[in-house]
Amino acid sequence: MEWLRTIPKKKKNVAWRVIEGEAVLIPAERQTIDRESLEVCNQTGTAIWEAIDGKSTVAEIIKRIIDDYEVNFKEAESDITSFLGWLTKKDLIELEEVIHENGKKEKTVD
Amino acid sequence: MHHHKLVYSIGGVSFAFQISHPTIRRRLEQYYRHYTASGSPDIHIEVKYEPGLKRPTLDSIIFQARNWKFGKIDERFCLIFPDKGKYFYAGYLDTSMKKILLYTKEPSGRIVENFFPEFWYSLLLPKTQSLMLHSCGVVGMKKAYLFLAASGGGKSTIAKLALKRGLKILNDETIVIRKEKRLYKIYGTPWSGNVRHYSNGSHCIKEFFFLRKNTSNKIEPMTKVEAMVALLRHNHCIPVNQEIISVLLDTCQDLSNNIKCYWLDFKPDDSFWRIVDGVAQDNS
Repeated sequence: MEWLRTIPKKKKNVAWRVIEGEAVLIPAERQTIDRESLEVCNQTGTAIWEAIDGKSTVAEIIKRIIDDYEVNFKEAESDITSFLGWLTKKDLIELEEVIHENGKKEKTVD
Repeated sequence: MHHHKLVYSIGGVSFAFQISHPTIRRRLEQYYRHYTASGSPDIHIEVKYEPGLKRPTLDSIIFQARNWKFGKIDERFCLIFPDKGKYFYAGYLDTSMKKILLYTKEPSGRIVENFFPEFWYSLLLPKTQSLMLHSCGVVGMKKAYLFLAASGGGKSTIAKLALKRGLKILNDETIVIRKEKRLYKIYGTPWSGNVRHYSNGSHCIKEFFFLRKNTSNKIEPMTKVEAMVALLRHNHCIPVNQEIISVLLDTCQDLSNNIKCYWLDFKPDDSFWRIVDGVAQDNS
């Protein structure tokens, strides 16, 4: 269950705008900037991207998507896990902390 | 010896050169002769001839191409070009991004005239909510056209066809677009591609055509997201920091919201003008 307690955070160097319900993401201040690294999220991806506020856990983001889009938990968890994996692979977010039962936080990803 | 500043304006942004070396100075006077301006410049560029110039070492690299590097030394932006080779210069930009100090060991001024201003201009332009686009700007009797494409995408082909048609070329490679009040205007620049026709003019623009070479002509409206992404991919700006990238995104978003953008498949003959003029007529 630790994954659900993970807090995804947008990387500080990612700039983004939402146009007609689709987020356009562009990383800045990298060692080399590849203009092809522009990413466009579909509407579901954009909803997840906007829900990443640096405070909400994966579980809370899943709940928000379930409430807004009337999807079941399994479907939402699958979509969100897959999308967060893609964002991590693209270096657009980091998954920093796991909140333990005792309230302590542990860094999971550098 | 002339020491007064040379002041030019391109795309509504003015810059002043201070150059003591006579050959470099003459070269720039010739190259920018159609863009002379007066008044207080936005950017000051001091060019210093240093025959013994040694290549500086960057503390960090922000962007690098095949033969040049851009990065920081002591918190100042620095461009080194070329990295290796006979001709060489280094340019420093102060933190206000309004003063550039350029050292060159190349006495003809050849490399100063072209790459340097274009590079720095593209860096500074987003601060003025303008963009420098990889595009061919064409002006007719009553209206202007802007065709955008990457290298080899058909811009020079379009420029040659426009010349045959008796139209004026603002530039076949580099065009500045800026918002003035509620209108969007394109400006010619001297930094041209294969077609050596360019002019210092400006004109209002209402639509962009993103070129796709094909064996038949077809026009298709772009979504706003497609237009935004295409604009981000076809501009000269190098997003070196968050401030510039934020302005770049805002500017591209504003353009994609207010300028009608189309994919234009075209075959390289005169036939595509009918489609383009038809769209322009509908939007007028």
